[in-house]
Amino acid sequence: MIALRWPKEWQTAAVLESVTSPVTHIVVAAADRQSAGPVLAGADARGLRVVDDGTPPPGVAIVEAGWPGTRHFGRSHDKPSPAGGEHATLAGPTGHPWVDSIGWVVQLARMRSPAGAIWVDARPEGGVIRTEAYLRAVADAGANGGAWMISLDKDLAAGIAARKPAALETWKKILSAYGFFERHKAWNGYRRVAAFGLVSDFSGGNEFFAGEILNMTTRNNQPCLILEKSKVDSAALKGLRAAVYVDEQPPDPALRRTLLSFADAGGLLILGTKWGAPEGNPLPDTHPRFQLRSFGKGRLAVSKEESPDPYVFMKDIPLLVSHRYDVVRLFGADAAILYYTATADARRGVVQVVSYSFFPRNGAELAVRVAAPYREARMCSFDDPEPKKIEMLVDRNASEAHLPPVPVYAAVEFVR
Amino acid sequence: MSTPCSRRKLLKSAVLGATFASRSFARAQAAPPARVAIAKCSTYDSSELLPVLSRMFDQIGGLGRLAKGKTVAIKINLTGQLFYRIGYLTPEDTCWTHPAVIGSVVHLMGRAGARRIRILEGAFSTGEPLEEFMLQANWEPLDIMNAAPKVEFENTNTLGSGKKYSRFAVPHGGYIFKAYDLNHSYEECDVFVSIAKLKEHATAGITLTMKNCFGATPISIYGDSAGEDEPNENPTGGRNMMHTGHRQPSKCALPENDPASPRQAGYRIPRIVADIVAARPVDLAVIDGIKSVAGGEGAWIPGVKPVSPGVLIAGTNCVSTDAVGTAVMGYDPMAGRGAPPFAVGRLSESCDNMLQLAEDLGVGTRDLKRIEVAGTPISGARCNFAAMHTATPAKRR
Repeated sequence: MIALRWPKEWQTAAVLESVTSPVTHIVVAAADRQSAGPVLAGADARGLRVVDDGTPPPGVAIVEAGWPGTRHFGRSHDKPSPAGGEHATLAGPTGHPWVDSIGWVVQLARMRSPAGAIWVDARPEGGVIRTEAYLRAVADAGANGGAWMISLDKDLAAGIAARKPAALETWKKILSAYGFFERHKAWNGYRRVAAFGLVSDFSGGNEFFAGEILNMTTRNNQPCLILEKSKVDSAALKGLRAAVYVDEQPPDPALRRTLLSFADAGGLLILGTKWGAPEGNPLPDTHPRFQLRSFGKGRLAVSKEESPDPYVFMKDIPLLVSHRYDVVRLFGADAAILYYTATADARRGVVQVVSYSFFPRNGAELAVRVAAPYREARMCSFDDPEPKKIEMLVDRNASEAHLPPVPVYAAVEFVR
Repeated sequence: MSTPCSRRKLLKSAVLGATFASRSFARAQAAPPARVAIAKCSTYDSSELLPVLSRMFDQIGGLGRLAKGKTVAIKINLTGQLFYRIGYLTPEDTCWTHPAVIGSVVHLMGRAGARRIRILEGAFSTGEPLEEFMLQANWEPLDIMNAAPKVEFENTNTLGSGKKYSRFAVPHGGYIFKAYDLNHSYEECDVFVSIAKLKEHATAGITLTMKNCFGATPISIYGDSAGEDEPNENPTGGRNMMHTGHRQPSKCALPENDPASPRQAGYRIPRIVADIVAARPVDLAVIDGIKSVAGGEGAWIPGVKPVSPGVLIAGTNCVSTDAVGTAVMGYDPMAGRGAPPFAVGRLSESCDNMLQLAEDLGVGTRDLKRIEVAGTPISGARCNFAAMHTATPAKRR
């Protein structure tokens, strides 16, 4: 299913000749139904279903997200941009840009509706929207098992209506990108690979902090498993080095037992202050922001701060776990996000790379390192969808694949 | 509004300038000569590297006299973001001090009887533990830690394991700052070692063992996210403040001597470097020139090329060692501002010669005629970095 938000620039049914197949749905806001009338009238005849944006079809969840991309801001001593927030000050001449991704939004939606389809409502922002920006939206949603709901900016919408070749070429590339993910839908069944997971109900008063952790761990290429707390059992925690619990309510007794038994077996629990009286024995006070305690074969790290800064908290998670256990690393890219999944038997892994650089550094070849000894790596992309073997080094039980510059999206399949 | 300069003021400043110049000249003349060892070394394989380094250290007086029973601090160079690469080459094969060189020096220090060895670096944009920074770059810190007994790591961007910063006063009042507040590890050592890469620098001309010490300044105080009054112990960002002077360090540290001095990186960086090596003298300087880059200090400089000079340089005086390193790169260490490598830089400005500035503070001599070279002569190790900027990139592995 591919959904398209009706653009105001489309006023006649004739434009649908350019867009039908494989688009299946036209989404329209209730307030726009009248204006869209002529187009909607022609939709039925072409097999397109019309849906209100507040009433998705059965089995579909629509989630809103910001337009994926980098935010531009100056050197670190310039004023931070409103879009970048206070952490825009991170970037300098050798700093890295702020990336807005929708991947984590899709992952969260899939956790909430595991059987359904996820349409991502992210609308273009800013001035000129280049073809790469549309492809990035398709990629960021598709790499996480969702589908970006096509939203055209006025220039592209008008260009398609006028059948301008450049606009139609962009349209063709967008649809082709959807086709790529359709061919690789088996990847949606792979499990996410991560060293730690976040246990929360991701709602109410917990939504903001948990969402910030997911958002920022994604940007920092620190994969975080989303664990809905009512469904967490020992199997859900299997293979993780750490579980994070920062909800504003203490866990119920069953969840507490599950998490403690994870720690008892050697895991690390990273906890907010609302956990309640922490179990275990205190360790020497060496961390400025966490009180460390031993528990069985594992440890508890309890935040000393009632309301920690989400950014600082997020940066502390992999340090408490140790970067020794990073499951994936990316080199060579200023602004790219990795999504790493693998089959249950770990014989195959896929790292999907979404690049957000508007102007990649010259010859910005990428290296993707996964903490598993694979035999071979193959790469495919929107431009070159046929998987091709690429150079791979195996060192210290990890595999490092070497990619050419990635303008928008590439997937690396690792095979044992 | 400009103030008219009276003849009396002009004469006074000329006399003061001449007095300073004559004192600097006197200090430069008195700067101690030193021996510097050069050796060819083509790989980081320990079977080649370790004996070469061991021989070089013997040539400059031996590590035993320097390190036996002492606490040794080793400042390494891990400049820039850890995810930056030139092609697929790892940073240690281009712009970072190679872990094999670090591990070898640590091992030899341990063998010479060092009581404790601490590895120091202000890793880019972070106060996180140095071992964690290394792990993210695919390094194994245990390889270094196990090279000798009692090896520790400290990210000197913050207080680290210390309770307070140590203040190092610059002799003769300093060019930019009278004193620098550094991590305690720079004080809690008997022997200070700077291990650098053989590189040019887009802004400062060269970056060798002296410039490596620029990274000793904690970004908690001298970084872009430094606290206004007190150090920011959870800092991010780089040291643009030091480059451009767009702001002052945290008020807990001393402010600049003259906030009206040029806000130009080519003026400031060489002076800050000279200040630091005068304030915290380097006891052993080691330059890793086995593999490096030409054209700048890191992957973010447009046009840098990987090179393999296959050379190691070591000495007990950082100015003399860097002078030899400069000569090995094909440049004249006596060159002034405007002459290569201190000419119009790859980032658009020329700069002052940090060797000269440190020499004027009496740190050491840059005059090759006063430096005794042991091992391979400069002529036998020389590689023309300027020519390599335009050379074909080295084959990627």
